[in-house]
Amino acid sequence: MKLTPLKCPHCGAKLKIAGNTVLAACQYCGNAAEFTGESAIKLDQAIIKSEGPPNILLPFWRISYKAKISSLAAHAPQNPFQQDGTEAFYRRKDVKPEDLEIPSRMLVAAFRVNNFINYTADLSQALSLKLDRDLPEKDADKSMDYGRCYYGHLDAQGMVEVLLRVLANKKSRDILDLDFDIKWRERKILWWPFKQDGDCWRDMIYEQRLLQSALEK
Amino acid sequence: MAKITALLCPVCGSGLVTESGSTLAQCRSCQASVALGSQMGFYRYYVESGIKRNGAISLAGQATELSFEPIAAQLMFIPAWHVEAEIFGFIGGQRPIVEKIIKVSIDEYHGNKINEKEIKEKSGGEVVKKSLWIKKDYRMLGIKWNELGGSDIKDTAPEMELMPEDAAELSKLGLMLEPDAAAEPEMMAEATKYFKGQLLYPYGSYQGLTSRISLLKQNRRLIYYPVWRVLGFTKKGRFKCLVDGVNGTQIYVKQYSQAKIVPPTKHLIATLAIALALGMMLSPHQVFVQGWLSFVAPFFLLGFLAGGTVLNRLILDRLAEKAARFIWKV
Ligand SMILES: [Zn+2]
Ligand SMILES: [Zn+2]
Repeated sequence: MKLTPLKCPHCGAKLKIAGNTVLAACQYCGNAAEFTGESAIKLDQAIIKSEGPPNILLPFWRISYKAKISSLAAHAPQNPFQQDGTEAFYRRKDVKPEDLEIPSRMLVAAFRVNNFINYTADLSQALSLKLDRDLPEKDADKSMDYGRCYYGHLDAQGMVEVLLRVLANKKSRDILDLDFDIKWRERKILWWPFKQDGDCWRDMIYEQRLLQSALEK
Repeated sequence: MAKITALLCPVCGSGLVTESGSTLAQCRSCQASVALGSQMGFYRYYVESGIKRNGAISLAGQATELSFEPIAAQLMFIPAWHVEAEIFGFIGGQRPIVEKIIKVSIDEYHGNKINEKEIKEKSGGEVVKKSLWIKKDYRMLGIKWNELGGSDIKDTAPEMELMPEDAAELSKLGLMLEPDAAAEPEMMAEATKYFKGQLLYPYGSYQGLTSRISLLKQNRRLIYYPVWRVLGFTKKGRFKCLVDGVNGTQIYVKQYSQAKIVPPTKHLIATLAIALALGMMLSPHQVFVQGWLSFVAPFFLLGFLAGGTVLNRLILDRLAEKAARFIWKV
């Protein structure tokens, strides 16, 4: 068995990471590292600026990539309310890969919610659709809550692969079966500001809601 | 049983502390975090054997009512795969279209009789597109042995206290059985098929179903589970028993029947004697022509046959058994 001591990728000091941790800060230099299962690697992170102080900052992976559609099949659904029974199918329109707009970066949750796990997928999807402009960022300070980070960048890439299909299908009446060739580019943890608003957390930029009970530890 | 040497810190050489099944260990003295490297993408662990050699032998003896003479007891480590994952996927499809016939009552002027009319109604057909998320685990034995067919090793192994495996140290305790080289990709393909099936199960009747899945938070393990193999003899013959190294249950019991070693000459002589006797009965004149020797020969051969059988019973079987025991011991 290979025993590899974990070293801070920024300053080289030995790292103290608790089991099941994905992200951790170095005790010496304060910079953050991601634990991949084999080693600790550098992590870029930033906080999205908001008006007024947020109640909570939640970690998201912002992943950039170049995605090319390698195959595309479209299934045209049947019409159940056709009465005469002659033409039971919709006339199928051919879908061309060029017609599909594929985003080149996406925001997926790095945190996990307890009782409504699909919520992170919905939130990621909703925020990704709106991620059309560069938001003002500031450097992360040394008191980030890394315990909130649950998914590493490889998991985030897996989420992107599924969400790309979800997004392509959103715009089409047909059921699209897509394959992608993806080249991964920069990745970054973005701490997204939320404020408490009654029984939910409301994101401070796009007004997206996240159930408060879902985040209780 | 000798306890396995604890893993040593690669920084300072002190003992490492690990949580059961964790991929990280912490040094007791210098506090360094140490990644336990995965081989082939799998973290390898083992389960300690609580049953000692003598315990295994006496448990094996309980499996037979006959008096049991043990010959060998060997600790084996059986590999079991365990894949844990969150399955995140997209599905798109059309809910099946169902045609129902509904009876509708119609008011009519004539009398109080209620007339009914049958109407066909179609339902379903909605296009469903959504993302799904479930958490499941897949378990499979790393080797295909009929003897282990009735055991629940693959199910219980992941629930045990898991120690990080150090192949050099573990092989001192017992025989480590390795899954064959082809088994890993085969197992991952099976696991992925299983995960996909679990995710798509409610949508089996949908039309034009397309789906894609990603496995998140994958935790792949290969767990070595202890099993004692005890061999011995009862008066009925060779006896073999597999004993679970953790809870002592008998996984597999086999009583072989006595080994019968028949010298080929016995059959040869019997065939000759019968052929000669038949020949004498069918055409005695032709046989008698050759003289009195041909008359005596079959009786002589029969006598030899009987003698040979007795000899075989008394000596050869004993010798064969001795040889078999010797081979098993080696
Ligand atoms: Zn550092
Ligand atoms: Zn140390």
